[in-house]
Amino acid sequence: MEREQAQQEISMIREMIEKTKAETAESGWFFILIGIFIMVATSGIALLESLNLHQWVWVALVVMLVGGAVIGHFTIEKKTRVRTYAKTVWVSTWTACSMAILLMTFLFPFLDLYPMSTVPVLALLVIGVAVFVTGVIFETRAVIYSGFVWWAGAIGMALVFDITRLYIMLATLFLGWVLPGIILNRQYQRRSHA
Amino acid sequence: MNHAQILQLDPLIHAPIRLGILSILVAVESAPFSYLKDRLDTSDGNLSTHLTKLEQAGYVSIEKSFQGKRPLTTCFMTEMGRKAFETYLEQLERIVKTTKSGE
Repeated sequence: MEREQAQQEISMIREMIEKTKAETAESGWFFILIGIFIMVATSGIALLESLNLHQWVWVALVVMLVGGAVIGHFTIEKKTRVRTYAKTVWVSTWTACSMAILLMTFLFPFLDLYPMSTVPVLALLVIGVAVFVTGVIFETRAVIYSGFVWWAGAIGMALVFDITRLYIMLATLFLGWVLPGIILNRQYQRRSHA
Repeated sequence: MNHAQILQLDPLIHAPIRLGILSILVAVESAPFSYLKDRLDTSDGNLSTHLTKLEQAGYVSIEKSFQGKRPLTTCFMTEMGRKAFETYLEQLERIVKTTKSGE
C-alpha cells in the first residue's frame, strides 16, 4: 500500500464517520416545537387559573402531556432507525427527569410534603439538570449554558408568587429551550450540508 | 513503507465495503441493514456477504427481528470489531508517518 492510498483510506474513514454523525445528529425540531407548544399551553393554563376555571386545568395538563408525547413521537428522528449512544443517553436522561417531575408534581404535594407553589421551582431545577446534560451529550455549549437559564428561572420562581411567575416561565422556556433548539437546528443544517 | 506493514493490515477490514460498514458502525450504536445498503450504495447480496464475513470474524453482530410484518436486520459493532478497527486505523496512520519520514 502506497502512502497516498493509506491517506485516502484514512480520509474516507473520517468522511464516513462525519457523515454518519451528521445524519444521526439531533435536528433541534423537538426542542423548537415542544418549546413553543409548552409556552402556549402554560399561558393557557395561567389564563384558566385567572378565570377561576380550575377544573379545566387538569384537562389542559392532560392535553399538554398527550400533545408533548405526539410532538416527541414525530420529531425524534426515526427515519434512519439508526441508534446512537448519544440519543440513548439523551432519551434516558429525559425519561428519568420526566419521572421525577411527574412524582414531584402529582404525588408529593398531595402527601403534604411541600405546597403546590414549590412544584415549579423544583421542576425548573430538574429540567435545568436535563438541559445541561443534553448540552454535554450533543457537545453544544449553547445548550449547556441553557441549563443555567433554567436554574436562574428556578431562583426567580422561588422569589415571586404572582403572574410574574408566568413571565419567568415563558422567558425560561424561550431562552432555555426554544433558542437552544434553534441553535441545534442551525448546527444540524450546517453539518448536513457540509 | 515496508512490506511487513502491508502484511500487518487486517485483510478482513481492508475490503472497501467492509471498511465502509465498520466506519459507519463505529459512529453509532446500531444501524439497520437498509441504512448500510443506502450509504454504501451496494446490493443486498453483496452487503449480506460482507456482513457475514465480519460476523464470522466476530467484528459485528447481527440481530434479526420484525417491525410490524417487515423483517428488520440490525447490525452492531462488537468490542472485538472496535479494537480491530482502531488497530487498523493506527496501522494506516503508521504507514503514512513512516513513509513520510522515509522520503
